[in-house]
Amino acid sequence: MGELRAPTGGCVAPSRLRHLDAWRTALSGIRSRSTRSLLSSLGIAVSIAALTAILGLSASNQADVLADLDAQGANLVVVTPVAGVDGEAAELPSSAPAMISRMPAVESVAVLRSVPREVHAYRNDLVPAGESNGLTVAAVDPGYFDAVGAEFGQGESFSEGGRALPEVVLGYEAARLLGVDQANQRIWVGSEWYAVSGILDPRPRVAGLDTSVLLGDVWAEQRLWSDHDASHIISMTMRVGAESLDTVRRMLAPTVDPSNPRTVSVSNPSALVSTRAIVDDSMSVLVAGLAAVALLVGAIGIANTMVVAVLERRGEIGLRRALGARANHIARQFLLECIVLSGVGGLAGWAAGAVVVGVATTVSGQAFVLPLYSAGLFPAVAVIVGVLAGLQPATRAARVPPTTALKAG
Amino acid sequence: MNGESIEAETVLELAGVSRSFGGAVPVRAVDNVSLTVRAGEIVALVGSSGSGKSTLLALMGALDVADHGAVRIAGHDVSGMTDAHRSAVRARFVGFVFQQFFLLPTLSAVENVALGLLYTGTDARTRRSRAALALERVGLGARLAHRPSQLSGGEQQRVAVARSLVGEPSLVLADEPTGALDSVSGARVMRLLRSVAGAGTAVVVVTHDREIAEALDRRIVLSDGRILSDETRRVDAAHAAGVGCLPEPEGSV
Ligand SMILES: Nc1ncnc2c1ncn2[C@@H]1O[C@H](COP(=O)(O)OP(=O)(O)OP(=O)(O)O)[C@@H](O)[C@H]1O
Ligand SMILES: [Mg+2]
Repeated sequence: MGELRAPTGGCVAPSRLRHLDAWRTALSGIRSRSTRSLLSSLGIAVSIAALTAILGLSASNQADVLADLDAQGANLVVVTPVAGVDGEAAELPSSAPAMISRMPAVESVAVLRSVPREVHAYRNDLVPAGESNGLTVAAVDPGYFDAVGAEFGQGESFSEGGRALPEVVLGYEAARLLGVDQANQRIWVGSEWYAVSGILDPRPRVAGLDTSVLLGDVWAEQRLWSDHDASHIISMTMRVGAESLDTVRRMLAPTVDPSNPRTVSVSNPSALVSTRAIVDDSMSVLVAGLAAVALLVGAIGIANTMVVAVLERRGEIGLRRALGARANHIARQFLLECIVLSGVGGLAGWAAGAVVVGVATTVSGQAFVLPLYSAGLFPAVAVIVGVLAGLQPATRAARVPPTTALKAG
Repeated sequence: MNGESIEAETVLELAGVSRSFGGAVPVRAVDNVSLTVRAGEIVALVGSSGSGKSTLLALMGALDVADHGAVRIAGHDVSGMTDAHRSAVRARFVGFVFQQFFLLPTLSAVENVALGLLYTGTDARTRRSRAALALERVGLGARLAHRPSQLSGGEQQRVAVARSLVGEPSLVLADEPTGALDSVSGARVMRLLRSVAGAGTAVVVVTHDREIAEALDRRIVLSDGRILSDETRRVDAAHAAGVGCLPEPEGSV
């Protein structure tokens, strides 16, 4: 009984509720009304699931459209030398491929080299020299075809070793004009027979490719050229990440030829690029609009549950106040319930939405794309919405005078 | 121990306490009440309906704030306190018992009793073990895991009493604790509260029941928020034990 003689003037510490106990209290409050809690969680879950599904489906769809566009060459940039005033065939510096490869966002570089002007391609050695069909003969390395996104209809690229052999890859149109329909047939180039190692599918996006006759670069350098100081590079085609297209285009000329950037011309795949931008925008507007509606619905559900809970549990509020709860503790209890309900709803909704996206993309044969940030962002948004919805009922619960609350029992 | 209550320490002290409720015509629910209650005392607070008993009890337990006057609980003047400190006084020094029990239906008996320590910052394990002891003290040591719905009304009220005792308060305030019980269960709860007082706690019981009131040592009669009478006399053990068979009261109510 000695404790009764506490010092006058009241140096009592404020009443306190441990954090863990606050969470436990919220959970037991939810469990005591499990059906209604489940329903309001479900409301949030449905809206977050709808959001996730919309985001995932549009992202998957968009990725699909963009992949299509990229396959058509929307992200290919071509660098060529500007022809000199004298009409001399110009070329890019031999250091250019290495410099460009080092630029960030440049995914691959395809280098096209010239062959001497007098080298033309013919069906066989009997065709008169004038009838070259307008075909372009040039030299490439074996990585060229991948870099420009060309596919082989017949045969394959020449091997590393084939670079130095009289082998040739034909563009689609070139093969037709030369009467070649299979790999391993022969054609006459310059003054020698060449074995056709592969024939490309049509690829109109890469200008001139379809009418090209492509020799190995090592062979061309060693057997066709006598002038070994020149680079003979007549164009470089590179694949660039869509986001950095503009930046890369601006930096290309100075990178290729720092001393004479004016002698470098950079292509502009602008028409396709703007299509990309349109695809991006229309989807985001749709997502944002539906997001607002879905969340509003979820918020109303949570607010409704909390308003009812506060009314129903007046007796409990009064009891807790009598047991030493501060007004604050009561508000916190209801807010934590909101956080749990909306957080659980948000997580479950995200998972359900992801499943919807998974099923839909599997059915449509698209790649599954769901931005990972949504796993954190959507449940977080759900919690924020839940707290906002619960704020008013929670503060109202805290403001009820304890004696009034106890009359409700 | 309670026999020497005059010598015991003052647990509760009210000095000129008033409480009005607003409205066009304000109601003076408690009007200039002064009293002291000592450790080990058990007091009956009686009066007609609307006389201010519940309002006064709330003021005694720092659950409500007086408009005028001072309320001192276990030495702490709660009049000017913030909500946080007043709440702490309730948590540490006051135990409440209500007519409607206010047990949470989804919690077991022992969990309900442990709630009595929730706002003192005691850790969960200690809360639980002390709750089990408190339930044993009210004779429900074998009912720890029962839900309120699995207990009789009398048992539920004893769980509520255990909850009020688990924090070892200096003061227990009971508002018509037997109001919802049959006479046998009610008598058992009253015996319990008397034993609580016997162990040194100050107890105030609001009751409508004359017999219960007359079985207690001290009786305060309220009328229109004022103390009409405040009488202390010895009630012998026989009377205290058998509430139902009391002779005519000496002092008229
Ligand atoms: N929150 C309140 N607002 C307005 N008036 C109130 C409030 N609480 C109590 N009163 C009034 O104060 C007076 C005393 O009420 P109180 O509840 O203390 O009476 P009581 O003695 O406990 O009555 P009963 O025996 O019926 O429980 C009554 O006239 C009542 O109407
Ligand atoms: Mg009352």
